[in-house]
Amino acid sequence: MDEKLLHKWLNDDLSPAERKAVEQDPDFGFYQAILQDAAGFKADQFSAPYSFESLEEAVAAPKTTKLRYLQPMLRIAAVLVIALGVYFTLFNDGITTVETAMTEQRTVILPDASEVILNAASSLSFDGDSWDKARQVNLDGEAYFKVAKGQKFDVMSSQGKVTVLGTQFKVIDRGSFFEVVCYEGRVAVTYGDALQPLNPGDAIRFLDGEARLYNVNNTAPSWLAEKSDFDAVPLAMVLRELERQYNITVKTQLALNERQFSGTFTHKDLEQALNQITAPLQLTYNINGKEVTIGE
Amino acid sequence: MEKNLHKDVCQPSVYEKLYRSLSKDVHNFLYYKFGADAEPADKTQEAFIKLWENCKKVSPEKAKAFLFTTASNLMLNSLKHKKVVLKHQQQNPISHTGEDPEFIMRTKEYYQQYQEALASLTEEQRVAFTLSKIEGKKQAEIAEMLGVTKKVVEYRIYSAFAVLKERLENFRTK
Repeated sequence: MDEKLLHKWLNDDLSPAERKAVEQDPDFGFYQAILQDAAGFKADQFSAPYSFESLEEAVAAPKTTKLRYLQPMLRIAAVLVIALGVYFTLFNDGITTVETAMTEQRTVILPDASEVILNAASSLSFDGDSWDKARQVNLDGEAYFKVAKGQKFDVMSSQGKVTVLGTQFKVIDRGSFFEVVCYEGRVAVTYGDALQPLNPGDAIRFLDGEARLYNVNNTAPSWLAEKSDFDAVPLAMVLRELERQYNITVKTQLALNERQFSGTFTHKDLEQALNQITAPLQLTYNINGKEVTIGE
Repeated sequence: MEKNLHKDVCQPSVYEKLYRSLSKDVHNFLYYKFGADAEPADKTQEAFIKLWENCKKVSPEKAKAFLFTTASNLMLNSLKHKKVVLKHQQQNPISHTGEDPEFIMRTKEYYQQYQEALASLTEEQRVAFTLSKIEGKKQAEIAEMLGVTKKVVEYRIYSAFAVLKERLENFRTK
């Protein structure tokens, strides 16, 4: 076949006359068969592009795999942030709490080097973070304060507030009994609406809301010298202090609030302490292990 | 033109349309150029993923050229000059003579020969010939796909055919 004609035939460029000539060429059948048989190699019998949907998945895949490990990490991070936030705001905002057990006394040094000695079964807390703004401690129980000179210092208790300027004093807040003794300097005691300034040697006591002012001779709480002293205190208070200092249980049939006790008991020996309490009141006692019975 | 200003490939609808209209051409182009073993479907998908990743830079008009170039490059990167194999239909297309074992044998040999002939073509020849004669694409269309002139495509078809008829000479029936 003429090469020019072949070229034209292959590219569908033949005039009708040329076409006729080509179709009569002896090679035509063979050539046409080659073109027709090429169809046997047609691509889509063997391979085809993927669906658009699978492409979408493939396009999205790198993003989702990133997210798949990122998401749990983000969740964990978020939980950690929240947990730490809650922890620091609720549990760790600089508040220090010191508690003493039965028979225990403990000395606490406050951020400004003020010293607090906690008597048995008492608790003291203060906020170290805001200490510079407000020197304030919360007290439940009994404590002796040696406050460093400086700005206002507040002792908050459930019954009253004691405001001081560099001084030494004692606060007791137990049940309905609230007592403040000033040993040095000057303190102001707020109890309900009442405000009472105290000078050294002054003491104020509220029992069931009833105030009593009196004087003390000592310069520090007696319990620092391993004894407790009382000045016309209901016997119930005295026995509860005895329980705290010796970690015992006191049982009695007596009407304790009708009797008052003035005196001292030691923290060193239970039997001696019981003698100190019962002898002046003409009472008897019986020790049975951790249990003490007081009788008439 | 103006219409296309706010229509870019990043728009999912535009992208999907491009895939639906072009994926087959890209796939077939890869298939004929590199053969069935070269995973043309995977490479087609890869090329479209590349298009998506570059959707801001490639305008819809340029997408077609981008796809063919990218697909071809992807293929060249992964292909270490493997022998190009185009599969052919196993079943005999002329079934009414299929009973004759000698004919079946001869047909098998013929296709074997044809396959090797196709493999012996240059990539350019094979692509132009197959797209034209198997896929029925117009020369102008192929020229656009390959980024060459129509004359070049015509010449490639002609030269491909010249190789084929020579290679298949011994199957010529009188």
